[in-house]
Formats: sequence, C-alpha cells, structure tokens
Amino acid sequence: MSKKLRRRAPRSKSAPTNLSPEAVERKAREDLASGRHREAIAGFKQLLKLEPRQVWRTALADAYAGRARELAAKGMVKEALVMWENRAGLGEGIAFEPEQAALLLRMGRVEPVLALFADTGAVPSAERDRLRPLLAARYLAGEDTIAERLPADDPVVLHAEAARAALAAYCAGDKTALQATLTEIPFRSPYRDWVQILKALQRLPESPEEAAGQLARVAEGSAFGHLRRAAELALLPEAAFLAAIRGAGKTTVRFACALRGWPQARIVLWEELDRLGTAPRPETQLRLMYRHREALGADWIRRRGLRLLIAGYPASLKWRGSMGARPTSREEALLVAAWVAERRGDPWDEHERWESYARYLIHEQTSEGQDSLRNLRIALAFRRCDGVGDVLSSATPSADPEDLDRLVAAQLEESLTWDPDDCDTYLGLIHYYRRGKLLKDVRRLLEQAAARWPKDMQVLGAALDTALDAGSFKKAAGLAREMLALDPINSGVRERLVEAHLAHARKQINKGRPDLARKELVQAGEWARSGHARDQLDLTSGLIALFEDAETGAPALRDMVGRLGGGLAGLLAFALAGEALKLSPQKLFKTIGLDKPSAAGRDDLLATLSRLRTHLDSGGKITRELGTSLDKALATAPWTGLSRGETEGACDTLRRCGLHKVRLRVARIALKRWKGEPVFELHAFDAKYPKGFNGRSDNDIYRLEIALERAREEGDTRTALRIEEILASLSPFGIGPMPFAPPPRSDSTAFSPDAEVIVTLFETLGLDQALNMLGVPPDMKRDLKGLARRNGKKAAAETLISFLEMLGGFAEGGLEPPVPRPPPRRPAGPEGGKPKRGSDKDIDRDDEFPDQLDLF
Amino acid sequence: MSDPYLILGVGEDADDAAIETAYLEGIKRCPPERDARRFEAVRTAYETLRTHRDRLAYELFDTSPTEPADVLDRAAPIGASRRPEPALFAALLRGDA
Repeated sequence: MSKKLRRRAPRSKSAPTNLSPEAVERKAREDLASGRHREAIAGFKQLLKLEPRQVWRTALADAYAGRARELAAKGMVKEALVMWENRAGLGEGIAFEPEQAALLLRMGRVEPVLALFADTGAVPSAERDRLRPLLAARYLAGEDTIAERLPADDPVVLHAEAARAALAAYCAGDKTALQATLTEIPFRSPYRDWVQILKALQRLPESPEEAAGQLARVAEGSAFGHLRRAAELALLPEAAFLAAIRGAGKTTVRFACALRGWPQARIVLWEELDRLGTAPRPETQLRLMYRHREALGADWIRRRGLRLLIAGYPASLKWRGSMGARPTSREEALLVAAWVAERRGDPWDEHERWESYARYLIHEQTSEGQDSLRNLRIALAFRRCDGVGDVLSSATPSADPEDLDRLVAAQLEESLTWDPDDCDTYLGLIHYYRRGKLLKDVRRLLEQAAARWPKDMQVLGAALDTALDAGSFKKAAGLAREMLALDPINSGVRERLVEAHLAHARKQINKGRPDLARKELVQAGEWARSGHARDQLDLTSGLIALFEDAETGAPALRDMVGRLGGGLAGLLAFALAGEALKLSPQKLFKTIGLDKPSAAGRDDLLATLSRLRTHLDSGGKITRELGTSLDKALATAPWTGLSRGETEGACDTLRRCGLHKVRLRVARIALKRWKGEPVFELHAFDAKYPKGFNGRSDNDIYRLEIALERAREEGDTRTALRIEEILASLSPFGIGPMPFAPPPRSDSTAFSPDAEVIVTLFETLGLDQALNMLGVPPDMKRDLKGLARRNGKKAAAETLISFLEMLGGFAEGGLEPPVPRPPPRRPAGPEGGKPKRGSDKDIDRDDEFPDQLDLF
Repeated sequence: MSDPYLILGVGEDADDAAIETAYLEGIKRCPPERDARRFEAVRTAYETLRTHRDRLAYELFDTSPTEPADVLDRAAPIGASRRPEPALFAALLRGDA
C-alpha cells in the first residue's frame, strides 16, 4: 500500500533569524499580548535557544497556556494537552495549572492527575485545593479509584459518601434524605458547587428564580460547570430554550429536556424540526406537518398549513395535493389570495381580494342555506380592508363612487346586513359621512345604531355631534343631558353641552333674538365649569348687551376685558367671542374703544398662547383678519423672555394658527439663543415656505440637513422624523443620493441610459424587484407596471428613461424637480378629481396636481 | 408559541365559557409576579379568543407563521418535570456535554 505524501501545512513564519534578540522578544511579547500564541511560542523558543532566561521561560509558559486554552475551546483536547505538557516540561518556576488536570480528567486519564496530586512538591497546597473539586466531580461520575488512592482524611473522600447519597436521594425524589445528606457536606468541601446545583434542582419547577440564583453561585470555570449550564438551560423561556438547544450538546439537551418535562416523542420531533434549519422552506415545513398528521390533527394542519401557502402563492396552492392531502379548496385559495394581497400592502388589491372572498361565501350561502357563522365570516371579510388600511378613519367621502374610500364604505355598509351587531362599524361610517356632511346617510345609520344601542355613550355622542353639525342645538342639548344622566362626571359632555347652548345663543343673536340668546346663556351657565367656558359666556353676554345698548354695553365690555387681564390675552378672548358672531375684531375694538392689541409682558404672552391653544383644541380656527391682527401684535412680543420649552411650544401653536410670519421670527430669535437647535431650524424652514417648498434656497436645505444630523445625534427622534418628512417631500426619491442619479457627463453628452439595459434589468430581476432596486416611488411604480402590462417592458423602460432625462434637465436648467404625488391613491380619472380604479387609459393626472410634470 | 389555543390549552371548538375558564386557570398558574412573560402570553391569547367574533377573526385574519413550538406543543405537549437519570449526571460530570 503506497503511502501518500502529504505536504505539511505551512506553519506560521518564525521570526527572521537576522533580527536582534530584543526585536524578537518585542515581537513575541506583542504576539502574546494580542493572542497570537503560536507565533509567541516560536519567538520565545528561539530566544531560549540563545539564552535560558527565566523571564522568557515564563513568557513561553504563558504562550503554551494560551494556545492550550485556544485548542481546548475548539474541542482539540489532545492537542491542548500536548501544550500543557510542553508547558509543564519547562521546568522549575512554572506554576501548575489545574486546567491541565481538568483536561486529563476529561480524557479519562485519572492516574496522572492522582500522581500529580500525590506529589506534594510538584503541586503547591493552594493548587491542590483547586484540583479537589475536579477529582470530586470525577468521583461522582463513577471513578471509584479516586477514593481508593487518596488519603482517607482528604475532603474528596471524606464527603464522598454524602455527595453520592445526595444524588441518589434527588433521583429518588426523597426530599428529606436529600436535605439531610446535603447538610452533611460542609461549606468548604470540594463538593460545595455540587450542593448548590442539587439545591437548585430541588427548587424546580416551582421556583425557577430561586433555582437560578442558586446556580449563579457556581463559578463559570467550576468542575461542575457542565451540570450548571445544563440546569440553567432548563430555566430559559420556551423560545430562548428552543434557540439555545440548537447549539448545545446532546447530554445537556437531554438533561434540560428532562427537567422541562419533555417527553421522548417531543425530543424526537424537535430533532426533526432542528434538521430543517432556522429558516425552513414553507413547503418543507408543510411536508413535515403532514408526516405527523396523526399527532397534529388533520384540521389543525389544514388551518396552520394554509398560512404556509402565502410564501409560494399561487404555485403553493398545489402543494397539499402533492403531499397526499385534500387539495386546496376554492374558498381556501381565495383566503390565501387575500392574505397575499395584505402582505403586498396595496389597498386596492386588498379590497378586491376580500370582496371576492366575501362574494364567494355569499354565493355558497345561497346554495347551502343560512348559517350565522358564515354570515359573520362574510361581514368580517367585508370589514377587513378598512381594518387593515384604516381607510375611513380620517377620509372625507369622495364624490366619485369608484374611489377607494367609497368602495370600502360600501363594503362596510354591506357588512352590516350580514352582521348588524357591530357598533364600531356604525360609528366608523357615521364619522366618515359626517366629515363629508352627508347628513342623510349619517341620520340613517344613527337611527339604526340608536335602535340597537339606545344608551350607548358613543352612539349618543355621535348623535350629539350630528345635531350640532346640523345646527339643531335644542336637540343637541337634549342629547347632552341624556348623556350626563348616564354619566354625570363626564366633563367632555358638559363642555359639549355648554358649546351647544353657546352655539344656539349665537344663532339667536344672529336672528335678532337677544332674549332667546340670553335664555340659552343662562342654561349654558348651569353646566359651565371651566374658566374658558365661563369667559366665553360672559363675553357673549357682554356682546348682547352691546347690541342692545352700545352706550352702556361698551364700558361693560371694556371692564370685562380688563378682568380677563387686559392685555393681549384678554383682547384675544374678546376677539374670539366676537368672531363666533361673525364680528370683525378691528371694528369691535374700535366700537368699545380698546387700544391696538400688543403683548404686555411674558405672562400676557404665555396667556395669549394658552388661549390660542384652547381655542384650537376645541376645534376653533383663526380667521385671516384675526391672524393679521395677531401677526402685528405678536411681532413685538417679548419672545426672549420665554424658556426653550416655552418657545418650542409657542412655535408649535403659531404653526397650528397658521401665523407663519411670527413663527419665522420666533424661530430666528430662538436660533440666536440656541444656535443650530434642530427644532427651531425646522420651524424656521417650515415657516419660511408656508405654501410648499418651491423656491427654497440651497442654504436653507443645507441648514435643515445639518439640523437633521444633530437631531439624530441628540436622539430627538420626533424632530428628526419631521425634518425627514420635509426633506422627503423635497425630492421624489426622499433623502440621500438619487438612486439612479445621472452619471457625471460632459457638456456635449446628454444622459441617456440604454432602454435595452433597463429591459434586461426588468427581465433579470422581475419588474417589481427592479423598480424597487431603482428606488422608484410607489405611485410611479404602479404606473410603470401598468404601462409594462399594456405596452410592454420596453415602453416602461423608455418612460423611465425619459423621466431620468427630465431629472437631468432640472439639474442642468435649474428647474424645479417634479412634486411627488401623495402615495395611497390611484391615478385620477379623465375628469380629474379623486382617483378611481380601472381605466388607466385617458388619464390626466395633472388635474389634481398642477405642479406635477406630465411624465407619461 | 403563538397559537392561542395551545397557550390556553383549549380545543378549537371551545366556547366563551371554556376560554374564560382556561384563562383564569392560566393566570392563576402563572401570575405576573412569577412569570410575567407567560402571563402576558396567556392574556394575549385570551384577548385573541375571547368572543365568538374574536375567534372567527383569528381564524380568518391571523397569518402569523407556525412556530416550531406550536408544532411541538400540538404533537407532544410538555409533561411534568422529570428528574434526570443518574447516567446523565455522570456524563455531565465527566465533561461529556
């Protein structure tokens, strides 16, 4: 038999011989310090050949120890032992390391350890104490020779019987005997860690935390470490346990599984699951489930397995058939299709798929007869699109019945015929129709809801809001009373009731019936509790007095404004009360002889801002005329007297009021005090361009980008997100470099990527993937995909390129880049207005967004 | 484990009362101060299955992937904790992890 000559793997390079001993030592020490033990061994060996210095011998011993540990950690026990032996062979002055003995014991070589232990000269007393737990663990593992070879008074022998008896008692479940035997083992015994572990195990499974505490007392490098780790594994939560046992040894796993009560069948099934890897393919997973169909149950597999079909849809619909199971039914296929649509996140697709599913169920219903479960299933399917996309929660009804919100609303309405017991659906629809002032629909739904839930606070609240919307103040007051009878401490209803009376009073004033208005104010006064409400009532009452008799009314009103603080805050309250009656603030001020408004001081400024906030919170708005007055009055306010937080709050309030001039001024003042503060940079930018960011300067954008970086660094996530939103709206591709920015070009060469290249990209990656990779915005992506379907991929590629070229033109000509369109809507129909489904032909997208360039 | 039926230890045909009973037993067994994570899981499972409507919504709309723990718990549920055999102790003491 021929012997194969194998080339020895090249060892690490030894230090070049031409180096001086100092240089070799320096390098060897560097290697040792940085964990390159093999190189350090070679270096120190080379040095020791020159001269047997003790320091070099000690350093070599350290290098051997380091290398031995490295090898042991890799499971190369034999090789590690050779290193320890080399280390021990270095002679005197090299302290014995118990790790060497541990390795010997791990390899079953008890004899050399015992010999070493007997040689009192070779192993100092302290090291012998460190060796004892190793021998004790080995003895408990069944190495009886240890007790025979050691002196009878050695603690390893002395406490051996008690330690073994404790194990026997634990395994037999004899708590009393276990307790008794453990108390026989003293604290300083080599079996100390053993005692801790058994005590911990005894506490399982009732007191896992106490057990964990007990196990924590066993040191990491203990002779009983494997046992400790196995017991600790058993204490992990289920998910962490399943992850941890993937990398654990078989004995450890079996030990931990026993403690956790895993039956053998579970361990076998786990091993099978483990073989599938951490991210198994859904098909493989399904196959495994069907292999265990008896244990898992056919119905459970059918339901859980259906979820696995999402991944490979539509091909996955055939998987079950290929596994010998019942093929996927039409209903199941429609359900999986709806789940797939949800994953894709296209609301139109979601709407369509859930509609198909519900229609199928309805169709089956008629052929199989009525079934309450099926009815509920149909209703839930109809409600799902709104549930997932939250379509109606803030939408205003579109004029076009083909718009998504109208279609979803129709689904919800239909869902009520199948399941009329869902109050939330009624309320959602009522609020939606209220936003569109479709009072007929609101009333129809309110009637139905009120018939089912006459005492429901939410239904009553919706009725109250509707009554206020319709100007039926009497009815609103009645409803509010009804609500307060049900819930007397409901301050919200109280405020709404006051508001209802106030609104009714204003209506009467406008009708020229101050007597009736006063009656309403008296009734409102019975319910008003907050200072703001009382001020409103007093001022309205004062205004009635002014209408009735200007001579007496004007001084009374002046006094009233004085009582409100007299400053800008008082004037604002007065102006707001006047505006509610459609009275011009300027004229009012003149009528009652008030000065031009201006903020008196810091407190007055803060009170003014507070009044503005309260007004806005209660749904009020700031008219243009009042806004102009406030702009002037606030321009000279003492802004520098506000703290940072107060200034930030002020900017926010001014933003809500639409007082952008003042906000810009305040933000700039703040930036002088707090240089580069991101939130004020944000307000300064946002206030500078209140009508969109057209014409913004590069310098402003640069400042905003710096502010974004700083906000991120400072962890100011809210400001960072707000700045990101602004920056994203500045570019159709959001923040960062353009995903397919044109390459640098000479003046003569226009940017023109090859359509064929892009078509190849589409074909290689798939249209969807390629457009994602290019960072094309979703709405444009949808258009391009539609174009590719109708006219081919080349047409889509050319359109994309023309868009790119246009971008190049903007860069060159300094034109504005296209304004991004809002994402969730479909393209607009030929008559403009809201987006609708279907006809992609004859689309005129620019109707809705005049700034949008016509790209397609 | 993500399957709420397995977490509560009830069958798929369990009614409102059975689910409530299983929930009350579950939280008694794992009060939040002893096992907060388990308590939370039991609580979530109960919220998911509380009413007939909830159970149907779970069946129709839950698409969370089946976890290995679900398969294990369904096929071979965990039993009572056992004391490991002496041979396992010996192996670990020998260093055979």
